[in-house]
This record gives sequence, structure tokens and C-alpha cells, in this order.
Amino acid sequence: MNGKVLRSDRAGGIWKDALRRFCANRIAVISLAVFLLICLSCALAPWLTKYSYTAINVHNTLAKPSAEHWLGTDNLGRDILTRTLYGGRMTLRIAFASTVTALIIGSVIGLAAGYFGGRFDFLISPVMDIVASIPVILLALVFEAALGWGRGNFMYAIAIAAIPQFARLVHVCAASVMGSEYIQAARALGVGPFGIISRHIIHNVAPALIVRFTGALAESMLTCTVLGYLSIGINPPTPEWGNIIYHARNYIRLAPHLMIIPCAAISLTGISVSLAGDGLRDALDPRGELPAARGLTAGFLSLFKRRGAAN
Amino acid sequence: MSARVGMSSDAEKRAGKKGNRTGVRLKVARYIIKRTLLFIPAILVILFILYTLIYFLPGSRMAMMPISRGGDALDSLFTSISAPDNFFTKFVRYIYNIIAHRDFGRSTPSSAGLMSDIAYRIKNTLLLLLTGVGATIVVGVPLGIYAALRKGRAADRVVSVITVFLSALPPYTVAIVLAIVICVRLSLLPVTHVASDPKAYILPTVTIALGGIASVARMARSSMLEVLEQPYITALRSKGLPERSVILKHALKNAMIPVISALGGLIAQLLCGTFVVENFFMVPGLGSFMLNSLSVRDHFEILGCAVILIIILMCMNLVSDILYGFVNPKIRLRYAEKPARRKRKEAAG
Amino acid sequence: MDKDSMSDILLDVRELDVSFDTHTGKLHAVNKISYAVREGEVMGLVGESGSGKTVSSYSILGLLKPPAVINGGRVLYKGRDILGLSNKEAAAIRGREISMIFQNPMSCFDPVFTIGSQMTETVLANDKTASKAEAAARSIDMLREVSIRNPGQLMRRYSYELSGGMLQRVMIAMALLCKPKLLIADEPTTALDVTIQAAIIQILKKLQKQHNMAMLYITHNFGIVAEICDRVSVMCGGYIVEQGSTDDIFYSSAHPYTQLLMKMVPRMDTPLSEPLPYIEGLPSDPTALGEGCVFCTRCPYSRDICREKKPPEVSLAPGHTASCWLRADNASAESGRPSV
Repeated sequence: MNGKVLRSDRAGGIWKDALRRFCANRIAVISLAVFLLICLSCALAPWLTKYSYTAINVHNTLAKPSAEHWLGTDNLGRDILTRTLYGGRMTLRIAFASTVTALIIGSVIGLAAGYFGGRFDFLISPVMDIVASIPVILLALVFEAALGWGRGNFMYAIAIAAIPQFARLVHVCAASVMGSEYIQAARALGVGPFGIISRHIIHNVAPALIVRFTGALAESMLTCTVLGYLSIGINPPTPEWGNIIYHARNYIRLAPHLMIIPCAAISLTGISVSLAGDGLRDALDPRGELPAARGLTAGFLSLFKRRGAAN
Repeated sequence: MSARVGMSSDAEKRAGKKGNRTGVRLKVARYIIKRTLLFIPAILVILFILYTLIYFLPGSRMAMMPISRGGDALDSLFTSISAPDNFFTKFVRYIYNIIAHRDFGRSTPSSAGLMSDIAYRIKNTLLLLLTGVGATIVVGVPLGIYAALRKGRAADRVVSVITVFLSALPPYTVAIVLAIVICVRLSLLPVTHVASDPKAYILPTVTIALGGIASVARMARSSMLEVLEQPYITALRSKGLPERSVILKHALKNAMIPVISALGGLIAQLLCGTFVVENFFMVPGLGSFMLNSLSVRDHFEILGCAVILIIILMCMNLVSDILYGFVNPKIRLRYAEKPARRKRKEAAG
Repeated sequence: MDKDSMSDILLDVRELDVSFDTHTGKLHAVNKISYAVREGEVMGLVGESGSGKTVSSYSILGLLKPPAVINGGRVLYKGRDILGLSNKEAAAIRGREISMIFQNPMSCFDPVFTIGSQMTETVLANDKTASKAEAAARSIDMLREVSIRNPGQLMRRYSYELSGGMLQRVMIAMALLCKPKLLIADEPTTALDVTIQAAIIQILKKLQKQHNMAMLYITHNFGIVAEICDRVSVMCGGYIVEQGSTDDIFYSSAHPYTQLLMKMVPRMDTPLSEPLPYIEGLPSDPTALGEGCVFCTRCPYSRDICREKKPPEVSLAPGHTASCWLRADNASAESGRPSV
């Protein structure tokens, strides 16, 4: 109603402000810590485990958790903890690689469309619409068929499928920045295209991009495990969370932990990423102005906040 | 004086109403036609990309496909211009076969053709996908709207927590848990899919829809909250409209705009779940067929199925786009205008 | 003034008190303000941004949303308290008895319905006996009253196809569709071009006379006040600091805030080289109001007592009151009203 100016106590720019707000959000900090812990332990899998993920032991199959095997063994007597960590290594590597690729390519496309506008924009937008309407699973199947099976080629499919969301986000942001008066002023002062992009556009896009990145990361991870579950892309015995679950489902009644553990790992990672992303959104954009920030899980956070006025 | 005013306004109203109806109809028709025409190049581009990917495989049978089919219209055209036998003419032949003969290629020369192999599979997949999309919308939208109307209260929080967890769970875990609890422990429903039994559709539909429900509910919630903050909602209230009409007529229609525009992406997203469900509940559908083709490296079949699916999905997209135009008059207007004028308007705005 | 005191008072706001619950604390937007609007009279509510004008007007129609909280007071419309009515009861008053026009016409129309459908809907919601055709006819007649040339065509347009000035006319027409007794105009010309402002004010003035309705006109512009208002209440920081007839306020304004505010109106006869006038300092932080006068931090005449105690309301002439220690010293002897 009335634009009341509340006390602003910013000392060191928006990034410091955002960091302080993020740190004040307990749920987000915990989520981020959990996510980093998962990433770290998966990355360090070769040093954390004493078994090989292919080491078969037919005398000790479907074992319950014990001191020897912390999380038990699977149908071939392989250590589940080892396979879960190595599986996460694969899943998270694919998720990260494809999302980062999509982020870079999408941002470049979006920047170009937003900065140059005109004919380029006219060409890019429909192409992005088309790409966005191709289901990732079809793309993955075709890539697997085309580039060879079982070597993780579906990563490209995940990356391509994620490009349009970044491109659109950066495009919208860049176009609105380009349309504003201060860019005209900067141009009039002789700031070149590089200066405008690096100083103005990137600074404006970055918060929304970071938030979108966390969302895309969670999506890519889920897609990766779904493809793994469908046995597309990664050949056994190489573990991947999805294909571990696929192979465990036959033993669901004998040894449910075979499946529960990777399922829990996926869910935990997914939830922690999206909650951390929510925290980032709240920290970077306290007033809910970012175009891409809306529609995340603000309500969940309001559960843990004293004021019920999130979002 | 007053009589004259009344008369003229009456006449104007009648004329206005008539003009109104035909005008709107014309706009809608133009919108639908333009949208449909825009979809054809989109489909062609996708087909071209997929075709190229498969064509240049080492030993791909696409490259060995003959460009003549034995005396149809395209054959005579090709001979009359003495077309070379290369990648492009093969692509033209492939597209022509699809359009003219509904022929998506055959894996062996003797087989009956892909279309007859998979006709019933298409039906299964479509049925699953459509019930999934339907359930997603029917449950997700009211859930999100309800949460928005109870913002900050217990119901909103419960919905929010549920959506966070649902969207972080992969669809197959849901399928597995549901199958164990409902089919095996309680034996309420059949585990494997029986096409004739309508009850067999319940679990697959739930599995496909759950992930979608989470995202749709979230989107509907935040969009509704945003609309409720708009000044025009306050303005509508100030005019004495009953609360029900403010919420259910005005706010709802506005809140649906972003949800409907995301429908195309939702359908693509739910296809993933459909493939998983086919695999898990052993439904003979396109997904399981394609996975099988992939494992025997039958590129012809993969491309054919992908093409069919793309066409189906693009048609669904078209429908949702047209629906979008109905809800959002701004879009309708944009397409009814000449592009040059549109450009200028956008530049000005 | 006194002879027509109680009988024809249409709207009587008494000790209305509204605050916002924000996470930095309670923000008092409106502090026990009282004013009255008589039938057929134009009352101006004047103050800078953030002084609580809009909030107080929203609370009359029950349009405030959380985090706004009404702490107390009464809003008597024709003697009946309309504060805290249920949605259904409030809907019966809105539009029919009291109507409102808003500051930014561009964002006050539902973008997915035509102007016409929103207008006829308004008629139908407030007049259950009207048919659709009657509603449309009434809308068209009303549009003609606000000087719109081809109302039939305009009815089929969407709000984003029209200009701000046009939309403000439509909004006025829509507000007057059901012949309300009181119109609340919340800065109806602030978002418009200066040339259109004049036209809108002329239309409002004409219709107000024609329908003999009362109007609560909210603005920060004393030029408009002079143009249209019969009486004025000046608000500052959630308090009413001065109240009186337009003549009282213009010719013998008593509160330093009013005097300064009036100097802020740019005049044709000041040379261009002179900078535009402004009041020194920012409006005081409403979350941290002290014990003293709201204006004391910016008042050129402020003394110790201004910072320590709230000034009492002092009657200067019949119907002319001001809350200021400068006046209290002079006036308390003859008409010592109790301090608020």
C-alpha cells in the first residue's frame, strides 16, 4: 500500500546482504550442508570405502547391515554402501556436468538474444520453444541410439533439455535490462557491449540464475536416475542410483534395504537441493521480484519461520 | 432528450453486441489458424534433427533406404527432376512416406510396417499419459488454489510440505511403494496391467500424476497468491462483487494463465513417468517398445516411435496453446494483429 | 456550521486506529483519527506519501488485508458501524452506498475480462433485479456521462488496450454505476498526465454536483484541494494535524506542516532558476514514533515541549482545529480542549 521504507542496514553490497540472510535461515543452511556432505562423500568414494563396487561375494548375498558391511550386501554380495557412494558419484557427476553445460550454453544464447534482440531474438525464441517441447526421455533414447549405448551419452540429452530454461531466463532478464534507461545512459557515456554485459546484465541476471541452477540440478538428477532405472545409458556393473534401484526391485520382499537406501539417497539429495535453492531465493530476492524465483517452495520454509509471511 | 439517449444507446448496444461476437470469433479463428501453421515447421525441425542424428550412424539403415517407393507421386516428381539419391532426398522421402502413407519405415523388408506393430501400444501409452495429465490437473490445480486461499495456515503448510517431498521423489519409488502396499500387502488392485480392467489404470495414473501434481499445485499456489495481491482484485471488491465471484471468476481465471502456459512442458515431463510406469507395471506401450528397440539397436523403430510421439505431443501442445489463447486475451490479440504492428507495440511497451 | 451538524453527517470516522504487523515491529499507519463527511460535501484528505491517507480510506470499505490490523475506532455510515463487517455484509455496502476509485487505473481492471463485462457485472452484483441488457444500457449511459465518445465500442475493449486517462474515466463511470452516496477518490489523478488530470477533475466535480453525492478526496496536491474540496483534513505520520474548511486552511492555516505543504505547490510565477521547494528531512519512521509531535523532527518552530508531549487538538474557529503546541499556548486559555 504505502511504500514504507524500513530501516536498511546494508554494509557490503547485495551479495554480503544475501549471505547474511542465507546464514540466518537455518533450514537452508542445514540443507546446503547435507547436500555438500552427500557430494563430498560421493566424490571421495574411492577413499572412503574399502571394497570395490564390482567385488562379488557369492557366500554373503543379501546380508543385513553389519560391522563388516555397514549397509549390508546386495544379491551378488557387493557392498551396498560402496555401490551407493559410487552410484551417487555417477549420478551427481552427470547431473552437475549436464546442468553446468546447459547453464553456460543457455546463458550465452539468452544473452545474445537479449542483447542483440531483433532478428536474432526472432530466430532463437521459437527454437528454444521447440527444444523445450521435446521430452528429455525421447532425446536421451535417440542420443543413446545415435552415439552409442552405455557410455553416458544421455548426458547430452539432459543438458540440451535444460538449455531452454536458462536461455529464456537470461533472455527475459537481459531484454528488460537492455530496455531500461540506465543502459541508454551507460551507452551514451560510451560503455561498450562488453561493459554493459559484464557490469549490468550479468549482475542483474546472476541471482535468478543461481536459483534456477539449483532447480535444474535437482531436475537433472531425477532425470538421470529415471533413465538409469529404465536401463538407458549406463551399463552394469557400473552403479548409478537409478540402475541400483532397478536391479534391487526383484528383491524387494527379501531385502528391502537394497532399494530403500538408494531411494533415500535420491530423495535426500533432491529435497536438500530444493530447500537450499529456496533459501538462496529468499536470500537473494527478499521481496520476490526475480522472474524465475516464484513458484518455488516458499510455503515449506514458512513452516519453520515465526512470521507466516514468506513469499 | 432522455428517450433519445435511451434509444440510441439501445441501438448501439445491439450493433455492438453483434459486432462483438463476430469480431471475437474472427480473432479466435485467426489465432487458431496461425498457431496451427506455426506448429508444422516446428515438427519438421524436430524430425530433421532426429533424422540427422540417426542417419549418420555407422551402418545406419536410414542411409540405405531407397528414395523410390515404386510409383507414387513423389517418385514421379523425383524422376522428373532427376533427383540425386542423397541425405536430403531421403529425408523428403521419409517425410512423404509418413504423410502420404502413414509409413514410418519397416525394420525388415518383410515386416508389416511399424505402424501396424505399435498401433495398440500407442493407444496404451496415450491412455496412460492422458489420464495422468488429467489427474494432475484435476488434483493439482484445486490443491494449489486451496493452499493459496489458506496462505500461512495449517492447510497451506501441509500442502507445501507434501509438494516438496513429492517433487523430490522419483516416480518409480512411488510406483514401488504403492505396488507393495496396495497390491501385495492389501491386494486391493492387480499388480500387472490388464488392459480390459479399468481398475488396473488406477495405480499407473497415480504414479504418473504424483510428480506432476506437486509442480502444478506449487505453480497454481504461487500464481494465485500473486493475482490476489493485484490492485484489480481490491478494485473488484470495492465495487461490491461477492467474494465468491472475485475469487472463483476473476482471480482464478487470471491465476490459470501461467499454469496453462506450462501445460506443454508438463506433458513432456509426464512422458518420463509414463515410460517408467509402462516398465514397472508391464504395460505394453511405446516406452517399453522403444527400450526394447534400443537394446536390439533397431534405429528404424526408435526413430519411428520418436516421430510418432513427437507428433502426438506437439498436437497436445497445440491444444494447450489454443486453450491458453482462450484464457488470455492478450495472446489472442497478439496473433490477430499483423506482426509489424506487434513489434512496434512491444518496442513501445 | 453548527446548525447542520449531526443530522446530515454521512460518514463519521471516530478514533480509527490501524497498524501493520511487520517483522521489524508494529507500524502505526493511522493513529486514532476522526473526521466526518457530510452529505453532498467534498472532503479532502491531504498529506504526503506514507501519512496514512490511503490506509484510512481502505479501512472504510474493509479492503485492508493482513498484515494490516484495525486496532480500534468506529466508522459510522448513516449511523451504522461498518467497521469489521463480514465479507457479505460489506459487499452490500460497497458499490451501492460507498464506492471507490483508485490511484493507478492501469492496474485496477481485470485484464482477462472486457471493460463491458466488468461494468455489467458490477451492475448485476449490486442490483439483483436488473437484466443483462439493462445493465449494459446503464453502463453505456454512464460511460457517456464521463465524456466517452463511443461507449459501445469501448465496452468490448480490454483494459490494456486503453490509455490511463481513458481508464480513469471508465473507473469513475464504474464507481458511479450504482449511484453511491459517497465516493472515495484515492489520488485519482496522480498517475496521469497533467493535461488529463484537469479533465478528470472536471468530470468528478460535475458528477459530484449532478448526483449530489459526498466525496472523500485523497490527494497530496493543494492545487486540487482548492479546486474541488469544501473541507480539508491534513494528515501527517498517521495523525490528523489540522482540519477545517478549505478557506480556513488556505487563508488561516495554523499548523506549520500545512503551511509548508502549501508552499510545496509549484507556482507559475516563481522564476525557473529557483529550485523546487521541499520539506527538509524524511517523514519520521512510523515504527519508532516517540512521545512528541509527529512533525517535531522537521518542524522549523519545534521546541522542547514538541518532542516531549503530543500536542492537544485546539479549536481555532468553528470547524477549524489544529494539533500544535504553537496554537495550544495561545488558545488553551479560551477553549481548553482536552488533549488527544
